[in-house]
Amino acid sequence: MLILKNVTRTFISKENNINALEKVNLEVKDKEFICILGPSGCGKTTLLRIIAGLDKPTAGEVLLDDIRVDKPGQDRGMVFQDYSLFPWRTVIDNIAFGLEVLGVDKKERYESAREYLELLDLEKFENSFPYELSGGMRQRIAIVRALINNPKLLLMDEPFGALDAQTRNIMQAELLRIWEKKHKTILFVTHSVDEAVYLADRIVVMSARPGTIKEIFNIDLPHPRIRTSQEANLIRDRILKSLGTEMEHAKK
Amino acid sequence: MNARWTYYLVLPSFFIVIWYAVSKAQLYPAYIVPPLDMVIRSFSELVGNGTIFQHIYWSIVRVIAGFAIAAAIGIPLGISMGWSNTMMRLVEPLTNIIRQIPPIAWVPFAMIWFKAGVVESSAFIVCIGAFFPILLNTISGVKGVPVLFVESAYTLGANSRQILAKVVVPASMPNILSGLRIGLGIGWMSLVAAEMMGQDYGLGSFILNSSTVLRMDRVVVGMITIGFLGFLMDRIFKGLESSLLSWRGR
Repeated sequence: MLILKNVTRTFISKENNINALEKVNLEVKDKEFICILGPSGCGKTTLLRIIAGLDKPTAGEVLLDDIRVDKPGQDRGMVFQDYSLFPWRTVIDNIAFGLEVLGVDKKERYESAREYLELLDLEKFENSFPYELSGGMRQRIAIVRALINNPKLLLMDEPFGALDAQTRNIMQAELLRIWEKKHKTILFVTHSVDEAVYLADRIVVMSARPGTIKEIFNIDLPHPRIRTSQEANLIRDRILKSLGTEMEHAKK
Repeated sequence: MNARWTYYLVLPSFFIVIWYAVSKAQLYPAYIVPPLDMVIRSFSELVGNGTIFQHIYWSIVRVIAGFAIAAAIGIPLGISMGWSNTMMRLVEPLTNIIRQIPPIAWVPFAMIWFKAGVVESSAFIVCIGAFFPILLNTISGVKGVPVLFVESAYTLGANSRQILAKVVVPASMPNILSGLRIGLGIGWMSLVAAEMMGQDYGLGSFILNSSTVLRMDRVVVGMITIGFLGFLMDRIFKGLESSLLSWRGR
């Protein structure tokens, strides 16, 4: 279980202080799929970075299974928006990186990496370099690279933001397939309402300046979801209204 | 022979034709523009009796020694300076002052410090010439490693030491290699100047000694040999670069 307690982050500069996050409280159950939505500048990415241990809260704390998070660790995997595969490593050496730094020997870590390549149906790209792959393939590999350490939590910061709409839809279905197989808790930052409604068990809508949780929506629709179903449309409508007042607010 | 090669040969052939024409017309005395055929004759003579190879041998030994030392110090120092701000503040002012001094200015001290050595004094000059391009390129390579890669590695469980070895060094390899390539070129150029301080062998000494007896044809042979060898070393390095950095794609 992941618990955020009064997580606050203030960026201090000479001219002014920015309250990126103010008293964010959230409890995430194991194996839950959470999407975080909000206008740009609402601190979604900052929140994710704090949970990953890449940034520290000014006040408050993050607890993962009762242990306080203060630095990056293998119990939390992260997938970034920009292509983060190491370009000088082959696909298999990218996936196996997490095991390599743990000191797992080559044979064993390659076996494990191959299982994930099979899961993605990308076995034949084992020895390719990232520049030889499409954007969608790179992000799928980045996802399994983060999964190989068997983290409790998978943090995803707009992972499909750089992909075209078509690929994006395919990737969402693929992510659900992986999620159902590996049963991870996922925190997924996005600014696409459609994406959130398609993926999440719960959607957290954030407000901007100071970034804080405005509203939480439970999505009880079974998977696979029909993007154009009446229920999906109704939820989208409610979320868009909630977000809309935030957008107005952010503009002022 | 494909079209690419023909392009490569256009300017050199043009140059040779002009040279030949000028020497045939006898517009200038041989010590101003040594005739082409005379240069070819002394070249084949020097190859025939093996003298030229002796000069080449010593030059190459010196350049390799100086270059290897420059790389062995420059790469680790550059990595630590690029990685740690403390190291940067500590070392940067001094290196930046020394960097402004041309390698040739070290010749008097090289002669005093290494007077007994056939290799050491010139290798020292080469080392000074090669060191700074290697150092500066390594620093900028390390500083240019995207934060995204470093953070990814942290979230995958790597510690700082592993990040240095498995992320920072490979990510800055393109800059390190181009630093080595530039360093080798500058080292080669400084070598020839350094050899003019009076060794018996070496392409620089060969040029100096030939010019004192006004054998300008031999001076030209020395110059062309230096140019060709430098070109060859650069090509070898370029090949090394593209095979080591095949992960960059085209």
